Amino acid sequence: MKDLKTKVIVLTMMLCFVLVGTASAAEGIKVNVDGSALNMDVAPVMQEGRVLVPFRFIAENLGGIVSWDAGSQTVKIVTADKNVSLPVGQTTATVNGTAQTLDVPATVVDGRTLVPVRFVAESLGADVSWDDATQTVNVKYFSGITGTLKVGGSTTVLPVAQASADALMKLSPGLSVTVTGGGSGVGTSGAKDGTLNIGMQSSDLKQEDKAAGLVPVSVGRDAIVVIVNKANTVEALTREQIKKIFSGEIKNWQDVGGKNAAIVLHTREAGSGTLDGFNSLIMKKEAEIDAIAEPHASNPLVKQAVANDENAIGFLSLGHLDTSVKGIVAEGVVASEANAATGQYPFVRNLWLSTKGTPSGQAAKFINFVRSVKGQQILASEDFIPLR
Amino acid sequence: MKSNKRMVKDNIFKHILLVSAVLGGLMIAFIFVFIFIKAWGVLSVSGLGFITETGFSEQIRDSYYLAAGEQTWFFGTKGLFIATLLTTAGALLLAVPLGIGTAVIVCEFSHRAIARMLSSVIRLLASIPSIIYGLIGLMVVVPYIKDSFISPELQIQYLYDPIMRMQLSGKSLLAGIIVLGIMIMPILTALTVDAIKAVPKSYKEAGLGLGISHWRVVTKILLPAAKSGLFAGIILAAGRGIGEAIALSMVSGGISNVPQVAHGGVFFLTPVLTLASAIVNKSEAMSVAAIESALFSCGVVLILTSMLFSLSTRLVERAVKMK
Repeated sequence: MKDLKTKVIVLTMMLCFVLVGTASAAEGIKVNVDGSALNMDVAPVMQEGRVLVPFRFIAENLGGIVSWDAGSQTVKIVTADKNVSLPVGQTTATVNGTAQTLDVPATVVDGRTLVPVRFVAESLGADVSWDDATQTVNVKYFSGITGTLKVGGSTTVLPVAQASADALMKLSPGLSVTVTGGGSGVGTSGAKDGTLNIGMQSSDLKQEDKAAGLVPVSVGRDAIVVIVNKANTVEALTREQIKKIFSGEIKNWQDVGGKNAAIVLHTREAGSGTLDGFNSLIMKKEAEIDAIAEPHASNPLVKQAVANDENAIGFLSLGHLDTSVKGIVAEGVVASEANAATGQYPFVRNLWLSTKGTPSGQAAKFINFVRSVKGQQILASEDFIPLR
Repeated sequence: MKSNKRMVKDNIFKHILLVSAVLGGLMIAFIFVFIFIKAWGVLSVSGLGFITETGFSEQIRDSYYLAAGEQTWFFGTKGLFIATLLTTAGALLLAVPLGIGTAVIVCEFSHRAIARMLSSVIRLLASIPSIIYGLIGLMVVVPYIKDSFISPELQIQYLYDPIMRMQLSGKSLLAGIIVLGIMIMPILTALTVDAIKAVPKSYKEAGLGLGISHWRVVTKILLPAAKSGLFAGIILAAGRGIGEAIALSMVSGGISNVPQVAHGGVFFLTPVLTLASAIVNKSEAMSVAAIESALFSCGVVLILTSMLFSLSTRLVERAVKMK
């Protein structure tokens, strides 16, 4: 019985090979990254014994930011530690500045650029193996890491780093990551003096820190939107006005074009990343939030409070903005993810992971994990704006 | 031989019980020691000032942005302590008459079927999680207070108040008292029902037999006879009130104000923060060692207050019995 089954399978496989030929869509080829299958909208293709996949999928799952240069017809992939460019149709590629030869070039199939999965994954630092029996490409990058990693700094980035560390340690049981807070400054000094492998910052690094060898890698963005009740007639405010409102200097809506009513302030409890963002983007240490402002424990609670009080004002992480409240037009720019992405919207800050020198080893893998598809999902679930 | 076997069995059982009693005791001792050790950093610096000085909200905020070396480790929870006592006392004032009244109706003045239904409803109410009461408070009580007591003029006026500036949003001491009162009433009622039922039937029959009216039997015979049970119920309810965190943190405003008598009726509209709510609300900032210790110190004050309460239960019971 068993013999028969094997025979049938072998026969079918042989038939397939004969029918399909050498260069064709190889139905049933799978690509696994760290044990989970990649779901691609274009099926992998087998060409001269090499599996080709859409470049976005493989690169983004390994933490790469991809771009397409139409002029030179080149695919560019940037991770924390690697920089790969692959010209379409050519067998030479550049990895971190050195030329390398591929046996199968990147090609365009049905308008999609496909790249050889082994070459790309290996040049990004992953291990690649081919399982002939299941027709599967196994890419190993975030699994099997060993050692320890100390990450610390900004409490805004902390929840993202902590959740990423937990997910990464699940993939790599031999890895131990400790994540601590303390603020962006602690992250910078720790990364500089070596007490931390990776520093977390929610403010841009100073020139002197970069000169001292710190390399910041962006992992996402944080945008703050000021919200009022939908019945409020005030539509737009400047940063100066918002600052004066929250510091208690402006106490009445009629001073900013609204009706004669008290401004009811809603803020967040100490320890909130959103509060941190609000303070650094709007208050800017020029003033403090009025102590009589009502503190809340989460974004949804602030939203609920503002939605139920006509005279209320509060602030949210941009990801939480919905139609139950009104987002204030800040400095003339509507609060939207599109405007935040272009940098037009003023209340946006970058979130950084930085290392002393170009990241390498486990540190590079950790940063790449935060920038990978999975890591960016975690980041988005913590109300930040992902890289892509 | 047989009795010997039984003795061995008894002995084993006795020892198992002894071990679990010791374990239980050790666990309580461990919790106490753990909390006191964690709290020591702040308590040793703040001393009695921890409950006689104000400014907890600002101190937490400042402490969060200070580096480890710059921490003062000084916190003052006078506002929290007062708010805890006020909400609990207010809730008791609200719940005791209502609870005892309901219990009397259930035990004495309603049809057996209705009484049975009422007491099962009360027991059900007593088992509803406090977050539900908090939610109802947030959706019903807070807007009600805002609409009926807070005018736009009053709101503006208190933004400039010379004694203590505050935002009147409905989340207040009053909302805390009402929600807590509603919350502890079912417990009080259930315990009072038990206490009244424990009074020997002959007392009541004797009273009725002498031709005293039913009302007077209740007020002059049943309730006085059930006194010790009543007190125990009140103190238990007070204990629950002191320790309530979630519901109060949802409706009471979350700022460590000390309500000012000079404000008149607005006294009750002051946003406040209680000890237990503070531990919930400020826990996000616990990564700072001084704040962690401050929150554990709130825990110590809470434990000491609850211990005082349970001790006073004993004293009251003894005093009532001696009478």
